[in-house]
Amino acid sequence: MNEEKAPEPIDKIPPEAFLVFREEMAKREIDLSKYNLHFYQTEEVFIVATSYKQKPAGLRGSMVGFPDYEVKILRKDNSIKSTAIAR
Amino acid sequence: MSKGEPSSPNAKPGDDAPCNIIVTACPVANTYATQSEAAKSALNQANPTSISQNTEYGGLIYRNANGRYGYTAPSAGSGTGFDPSSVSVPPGTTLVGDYHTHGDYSTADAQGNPVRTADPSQDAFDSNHFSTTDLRGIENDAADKPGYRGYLGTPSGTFLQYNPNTRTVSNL
Repeated sequence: MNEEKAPEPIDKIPPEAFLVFREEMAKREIDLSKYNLHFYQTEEVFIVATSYKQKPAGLRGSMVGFPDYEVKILRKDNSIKSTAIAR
Repeated sequence: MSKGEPSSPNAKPGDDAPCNIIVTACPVANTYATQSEAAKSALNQANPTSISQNTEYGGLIYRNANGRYGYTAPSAGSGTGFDPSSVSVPPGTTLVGDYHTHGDYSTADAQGNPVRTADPSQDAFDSNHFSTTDLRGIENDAADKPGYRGYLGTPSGTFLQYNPNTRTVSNL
């Protein structure tokens, strides 16, 4: 890696992409009411990052037992590129 | 040197500062000409242990009163996180960045806790990159601190840095 732009924060993602995100979370039986949602984009993907509502503000990664997630959705066809737990 | 003692009789405030019993990590005695050198040294110290224990480690990078740089000794976080606010810089120094490591490649158990695989193709955590929560946390901690950087040690052995002003990630 030489230099790479960080994903850009955005207010929301298109409804079709958000539906894909919700389906992915439902498949993993994740209760979204416990999380704040944050939206980002790159040229390739939309990203939805969850952060557990009770998480300490400065914490990098996730709280033990309360994983935050990052779902990357390909812009070209609204398919899941990857789902990772934030570390 | 025992905890609480200055490393030399001539130690000045912020220059190889002594440990304070209320901080959770002590400064490392060596100092460095640049912030990047201090960060590399910190990650070189933290990353092998982080990988072998599959636990995140981290600490803070600071500037001494004499313009040289140092870092707090690596403190253990959890398998999935590290909180820089759990550490303080020595008195008389200026906070200029933070570092943390990501442990080893892992899958996740039912609670989302890491289970080591040591295999990059089986990594549920995207461990070789800053997470967006990392980037957001660094941006928040960098507010009103020009020059603040976040540094990351990864299981690949690559060290990354994040500049929140330009919002760019690059190799350290």
